[in-house]
Amino acid sequence: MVPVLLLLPIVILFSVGYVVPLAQLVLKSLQHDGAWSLNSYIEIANSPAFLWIVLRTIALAATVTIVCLLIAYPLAYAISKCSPRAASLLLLIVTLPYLTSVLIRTYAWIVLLSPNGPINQLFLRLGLISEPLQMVFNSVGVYVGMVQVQLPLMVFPLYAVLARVDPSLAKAAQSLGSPPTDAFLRVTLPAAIPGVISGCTLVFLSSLGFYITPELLGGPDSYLIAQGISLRVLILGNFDEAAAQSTILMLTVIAVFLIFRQRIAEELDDRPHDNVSPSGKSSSGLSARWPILERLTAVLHGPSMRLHEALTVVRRPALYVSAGLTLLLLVLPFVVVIPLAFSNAPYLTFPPPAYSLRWFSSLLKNTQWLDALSFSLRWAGLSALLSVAIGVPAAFALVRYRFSARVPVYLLLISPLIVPHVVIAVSLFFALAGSSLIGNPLAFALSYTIIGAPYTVVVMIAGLKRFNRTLELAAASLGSSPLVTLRTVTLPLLLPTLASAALFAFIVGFDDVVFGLFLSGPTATPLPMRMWDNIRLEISPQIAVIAVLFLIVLALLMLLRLFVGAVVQGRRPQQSLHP
Amino acid sequence: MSVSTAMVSEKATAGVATSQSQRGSVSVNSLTKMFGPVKAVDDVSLSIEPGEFVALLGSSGSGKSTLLMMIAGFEVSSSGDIMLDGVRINDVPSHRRGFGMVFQSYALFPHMTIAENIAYPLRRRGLRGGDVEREVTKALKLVALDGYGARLPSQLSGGQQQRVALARALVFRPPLLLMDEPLGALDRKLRQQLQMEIKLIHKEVGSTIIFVTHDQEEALSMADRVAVLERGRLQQCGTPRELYEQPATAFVADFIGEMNFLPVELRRSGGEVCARSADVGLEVVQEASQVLTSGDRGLLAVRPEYIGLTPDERATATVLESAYTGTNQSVLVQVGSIRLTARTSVSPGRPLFQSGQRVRVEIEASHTRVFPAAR
Amino acid sequence: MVDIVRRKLFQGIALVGGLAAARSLFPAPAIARIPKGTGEVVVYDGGGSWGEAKRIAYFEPFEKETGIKVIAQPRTDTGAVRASVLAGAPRYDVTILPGGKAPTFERDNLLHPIDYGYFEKADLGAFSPVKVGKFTVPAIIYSLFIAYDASKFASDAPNSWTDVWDAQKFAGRRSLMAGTWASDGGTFEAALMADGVDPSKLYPLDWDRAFKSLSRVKPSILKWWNTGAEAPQMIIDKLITAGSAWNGRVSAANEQGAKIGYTWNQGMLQYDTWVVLKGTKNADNAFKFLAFSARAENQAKFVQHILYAPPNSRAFEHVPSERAKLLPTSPEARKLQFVQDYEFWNIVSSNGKANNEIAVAQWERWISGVR
Repeated sequence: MVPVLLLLPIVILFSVGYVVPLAQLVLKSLQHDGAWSLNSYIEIANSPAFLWIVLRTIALAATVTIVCLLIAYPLAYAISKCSPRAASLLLLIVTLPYLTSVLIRTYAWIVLLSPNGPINQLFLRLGLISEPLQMVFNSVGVYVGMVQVQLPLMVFPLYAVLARVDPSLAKAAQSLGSPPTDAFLRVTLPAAIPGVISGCTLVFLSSLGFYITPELLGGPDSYLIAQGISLRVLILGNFDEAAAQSTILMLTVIAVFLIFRQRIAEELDDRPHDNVSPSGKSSSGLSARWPILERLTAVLHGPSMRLHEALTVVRRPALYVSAGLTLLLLVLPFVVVIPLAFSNAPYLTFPPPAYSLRWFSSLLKNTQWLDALSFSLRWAGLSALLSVAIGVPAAFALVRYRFSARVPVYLLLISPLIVPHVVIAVSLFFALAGSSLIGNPLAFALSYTIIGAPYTVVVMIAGLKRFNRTLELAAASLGSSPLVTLRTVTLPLLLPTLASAALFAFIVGFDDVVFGLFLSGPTATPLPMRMWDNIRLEISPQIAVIAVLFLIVLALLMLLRLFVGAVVQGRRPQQSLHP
Repeated sequence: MSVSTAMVSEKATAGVATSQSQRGSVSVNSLTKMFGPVKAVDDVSLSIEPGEFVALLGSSGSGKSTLLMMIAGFEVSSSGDIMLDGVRINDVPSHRRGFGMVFQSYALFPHMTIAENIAYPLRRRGLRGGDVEREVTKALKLVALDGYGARLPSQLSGGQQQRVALARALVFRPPLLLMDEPLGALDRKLRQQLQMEIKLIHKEVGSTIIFVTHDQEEALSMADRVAVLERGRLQQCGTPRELYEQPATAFVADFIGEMNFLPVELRRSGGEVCARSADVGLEVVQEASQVLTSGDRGLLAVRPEYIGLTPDERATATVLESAYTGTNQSVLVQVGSIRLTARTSVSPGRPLFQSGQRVRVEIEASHTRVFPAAR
Repeated sequence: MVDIVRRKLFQGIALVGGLAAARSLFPAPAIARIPKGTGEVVVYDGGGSWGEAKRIAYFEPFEKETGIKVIAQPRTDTGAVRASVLAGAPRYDVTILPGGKAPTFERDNLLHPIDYGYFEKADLGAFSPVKVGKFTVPAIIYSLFIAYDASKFASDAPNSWTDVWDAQKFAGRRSLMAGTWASDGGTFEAALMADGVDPSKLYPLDWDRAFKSLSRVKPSILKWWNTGAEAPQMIIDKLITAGSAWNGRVSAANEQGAKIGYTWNQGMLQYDTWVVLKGTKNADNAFKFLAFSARAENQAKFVQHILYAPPNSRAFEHVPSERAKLLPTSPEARKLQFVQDYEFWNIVSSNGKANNEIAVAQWERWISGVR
């Protein structure tokens, strides 16, 4: 009963604003000129190009997923070894790519990776290469751009499980004679498997729906399914075919979901009763699940000891170097974005010929932009609050309760991360058409919440699983009712998680372009719509200014937190000297 | 600790009717907890007197923590009753049971100061202002942490944190204090020091204590009675001495202290059982207890200190290894096909046993127990 | 300046806009006032310097003259505009469509016929080279032409699409608009011209020949551009040395100090057109606005701010000659170019698909390697 109540608000909202419209779109794809028809599907079946585009999209998504996993793992591992304060700072850095509009971010990559860009210059000067590498407008550029954006989706689930792995387990394994690398294989990695699976699933599926980044950074061969869908929706206005292609994409996504549903569900499981329930069985490890691995390690054990010893020496530095490089990858675009905002050039050029505040003052003088900015702040802000209000109870229900619909509900709630936004937007548009909601800010609040809430759910699930539930048991034993415990213990401790959940939801709404194309009206024009309008024909440093303003606000918030923290820390020990 | 008892207990025990004098008696009747098909706790019955200090002892997976969690109200029992002072409390939510609880991981609220942590249960019971401050100060004094109230838990050592947890669990003067491996995270020296402190505090506050541990030494040295659990079943509950001297099962015999087991053949006649060991050339006659109703093979259990060794060149037993521990010498002896450990007291001037030395082995029959072979 | 204005006044032509001195001397236009109105009209803005030019030349003076409030709204892609009309809630009252896309709106009955009652007869007759239609009023004329890095090719610059295709003679990478934009990008026409087809014999386009030609240029393509800003930006960033681009963007970048070369030769004249969307609640205000924006003086004022050619040829009478020669419809430029055949692009073949859609389908096959 409790989980039903907790899930009710989000499920109702998703049904109204997402499931029903999508279902209508699917029905529409089965119609042609008002009659039932498989015409659109026949069209697709007759087009070998579609199959190739789908296969190419899957190959790209798979590669991005593997690259993300390889570089996110060391980073997540390193973060899980940090103090909570450092960890929350690092996790914030991981989310930084979201703070910049996709356009300025991709432009920054073009600058960084171009043949005469800083990276090539550096390599040339170091003598690593003799002529510039082609790193942009080919698959390298696409991977770099996509990996940077997708990384948070991999780091968060991995961090959630790794932070939970008891380091003493690995130490115990080592003390029992297994070398660290082996202990990693037997203890740490198996424990991380649920995070790996869920991170990979999220990255893979949401990569299927990407198109702006590959379109801007990709080479002449780059063409993906979401590009085809958005082309049909936005340019051709061929909604039937777009609906049919989206339906096929969604079915693919659902199929992948079904294959991995058990693993995804494991990601949900938290083990609050580690010290309660019989614990002996939980340390079975990877080898127990995969006997072949057991045999393999047994065979390799002797010869590999030496290798392990050698590895042990480089393991730690390698880990930190890798984590450091990944962080660099995440923040590198800002090296370009920040100077650009202070450029005095009328168009984007890097490095700027001279510096000035002209783009800041031009932003502040433009009332249209300011109106749009305040609209976006207001409604993305409201939807962030709404996302938290409905996403947090849902995360509680999913992590803390067992019920039969748990996995399906979880999949439903994170699916907006995966279905291309252009499809959600067009379906929502047709569902709302005729009502007064088109051009109404409420439509934005609704759609931003639908694309923002999945992030709050994912972030909160990670936070809740990390949460030490013994504290709640302690509170109960001290006479605190569940609601009072929530108020006095759970929520205060989850505050950083709540904040980052809200931040995610806010940015997702704030950066949205696609819904704006369909839902805006004279009294409802979000900022990215104005930005896009400008960018189509002339890219000016104006868009970098928004990113920098964002950064400044964020930095102020961080400083405030550090300051408050320091004051609190400074006050207490002094007091204790004079009881 | 003289908490304003009347006021606190009034609110603390809302929903649980108790009489002041009899507070803190706990009984568990046929309690069972299933995790899927696994019986984590299997038909356990236990009765604890007010003010008693009982340890639940067992290895990991024995069900001791699950039993504690059911008493605390954090786990729902599959069947059976939990009674507090004669009232069934299975359905009373944990926060209304009014028990104090100390966890292995301390479970101090990291966002509150020490004082705020200790005040937490008082505030939940409606205490405000000066009353709270007074009680917190007293509680801190009780655990010898005066003046630490304004610090954050992260600024304290593990041992200090656990003392705070103890103060927090006692400040509202609960009839029953539950402790779940409270010393498990501490090093040996600190553990011993805190064992003593907990015993002292127990004497001072008089609450009933149920204490979960996997450390038999800790259980024996601290508790009035020890309940030994294995695979969810209660093996025996008794005073440390009873457990040591009259173990009810071979498991308890093996688990508590050191024990030698000799395979024996059993012969029954009337109400008596005769156990014979061919290896040692020993025959013991005991009353046939319930556990020895069938089978012709058994195990004879004898503590090392009841095995006597005498140097004897003609004897067949040989000393394999020995360890000198100051007042005692532990000696491993090969007798026929079995090995026995003996502990002999060392007296000045008498030579120690040496490896390879031939010895005569004597076992005091009155200090042996016979168990069925299939353990 | 004042002299010019006076002379024009004597000729009985309305006041030139944008000249502050003139405005203060002669505050009232001699003729052609559009009657006052009430309410509002929602108009597509376009953003950037284009939106700015519209605001100065059309929106603000129109509000002042008629009292009708102009609500300028940012771009929405044609698919979303189509959806909004289909849903009965048009996104704008008046918007601008690419000339190649407007006929599909017309065909699918998504446009409101235009009442030309508020238009000056002289203005109406002066639309050239593109006439007004039942549903469309040309808004701007521009050129998709060959642009190149002027610092790289100073003396010997690419002068035809064949040159653009020739990566030996003119070293460097290339960029053309993605074929998914069909008529908007002019990429298919460029491919045929590169293969030697004379501009006058382009239509109907020979798809096979076009894709064969595209396959030849593909190895030197850095990327297919999607937004007008990209190609000039890639030249500025020295990522490409030549490609296709729209003249307005190139000139604007050059005005800001960039060094982008271009040739009018084999350039394609394209145009955008004003339309009134079906279901509009402000049709009358929309017609007034269109009449206002069709006036020669207002279009001339618009040209002062952005180098898109005025479709009303009379506007040239008010444009200084230095500026006029930068425009794609100036006599010198005009004779080197041809007007893209939007009619061809909208012919519907037997399978119910217009050439615009056929081009996209074929492009998708070609780009995924199955063509």
